[in-house]
Amino acid sequence: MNSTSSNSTLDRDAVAQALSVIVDTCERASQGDLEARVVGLPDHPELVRLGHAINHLLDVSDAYVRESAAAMAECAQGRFHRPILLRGLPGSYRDAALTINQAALRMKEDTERIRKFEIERAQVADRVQNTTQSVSTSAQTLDQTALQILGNAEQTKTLSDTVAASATATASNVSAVAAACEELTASTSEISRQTTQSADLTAAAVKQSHEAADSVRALGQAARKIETVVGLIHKIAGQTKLLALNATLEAARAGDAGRGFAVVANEVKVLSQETAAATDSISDQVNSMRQATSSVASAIDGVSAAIGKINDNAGIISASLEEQVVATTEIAKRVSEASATASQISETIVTVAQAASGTEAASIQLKQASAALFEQAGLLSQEVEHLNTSRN
Amino acid sequence: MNPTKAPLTGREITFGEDEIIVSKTDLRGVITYANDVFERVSGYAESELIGKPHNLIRHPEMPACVFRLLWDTLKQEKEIFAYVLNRARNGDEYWVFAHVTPSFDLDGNVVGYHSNRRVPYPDALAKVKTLYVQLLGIERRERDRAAGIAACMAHLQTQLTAAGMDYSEFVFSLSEHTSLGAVA
Repeated sequence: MNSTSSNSTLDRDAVAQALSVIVDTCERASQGDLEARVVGLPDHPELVRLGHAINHLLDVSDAYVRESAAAMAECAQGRFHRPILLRGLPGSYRDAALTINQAALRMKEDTERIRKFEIERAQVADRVQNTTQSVSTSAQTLDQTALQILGNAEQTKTLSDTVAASATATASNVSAVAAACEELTASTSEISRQTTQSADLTAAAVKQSHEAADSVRALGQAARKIETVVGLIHKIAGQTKLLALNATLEAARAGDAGRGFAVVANEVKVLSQETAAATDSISDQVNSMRQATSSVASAIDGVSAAIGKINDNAGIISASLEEQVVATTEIAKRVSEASATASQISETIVTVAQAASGTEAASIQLKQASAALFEQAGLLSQEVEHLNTSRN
Repeated sequence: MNPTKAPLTGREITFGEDEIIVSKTDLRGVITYANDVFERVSGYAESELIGKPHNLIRHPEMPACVFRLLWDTLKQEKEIFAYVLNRARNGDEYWVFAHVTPSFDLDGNVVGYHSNRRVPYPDALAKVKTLYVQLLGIERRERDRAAGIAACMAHLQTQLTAAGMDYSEFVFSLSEHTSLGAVA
């Protein structure tokens, strides 16, 4: 069908064949087969123009269809980089292409907005999920803490009961001790008073024994004076005897004239001898007396020393007693303070027991609240999970 | 294939911004249709194009990896855009923004390939020229064609990864005129 003729006249068969090719092409194109083109027409100017015109129409239609289909295919994939190329598309084709490009641009913007929104929603969901998890964890911790507090409160209650009982017992013990102290103080005072009295008596005895000793000493001195006098008498008696002897001798010389005198002198001699004997007796008596006095003096001294010792001991006892009184008073004071403290503990522990009861009640409520919180967090988590699942 | 190829002139020619160079090939890349703009710009008559391989108009200063990428993409039944330098019959050269797509029959089978080529946008072309010089340099450093293509593909992939784009996004990002909001 390809003609080598270049002149403008063709035979009827060639024209008919060319027209057949053109008609065939047009029919295929009208059936939607845009592959159809007019190819291999004879080299006749009018036919070639006709062929080109038909092919141009098909090329533009083909280009528009390929462009719009490809651009929309990309949009359908969520990709918006590929517009319909406007070059080579005239008139209505171009207008339609512009409209499609604008629509695609709008789709691109909407898609970007939706993506951004989806990302934000996912982020919000993640944050909510994280928060929920954290709340859930906190609720569990809270539950454990409440349990622990409950345990502590119960223990506190038990302990405070024990302490209250102990405090009561202590108060009663302290009272007994205080009473004992008071009695001790009273008896100590009595002993102190009696000791003082005893000391006074001892002091009087000492004084009297001293006086007795003095008297005995005076007696001794008197005995010595007597002894002196006795000695003097004895000496006088000796001299008198000597004188009597001499007188006797003189009287003898005088004979009868001195007979009378001799008698007297003899008498004097006898008297002096008796005196001497008497003084000897006195002297013996005085000696005995002196010995007795001396014994009495040493006995008195022994008594006096014993009394002195008693007096000393009484003083030590008295000082000890005073210290004991001070100590007892101090003990009484302390016991009184202890009693006050025990009472205070008793009062305080009641308050503690009440507080523990309060804590127990509060921790039970806390435990219920944390369980509810945990459950709510679980529900919230499920909601968010559902939200995330429905997103994908 | 064509022993009458003229030497390169280094002269750049172009075509109308409202025009499209259109061609169709079979599955092997043999031309089955070329429109009048193709004929005019390339300088070949219809009868010289039909039945010829499409690389008839391939320019030697095009990195081979671009065509490898093109065929790999088409094999996946996907469209591909590429800035391509072509040579005319007389040795002149012309840049196009090529859009190549598989053609399907009414049953959905791939029956061939279709190419629409438009005048490239200058802002994109400047970037593409720089990239292609880089790719040609890499390609020519390698000891053979296969190694050169592999090295260029790796380089391109590295650039795309760095930019966080796939090739399609990259090629549309090259010009402000190939964005959704463009009106010209």
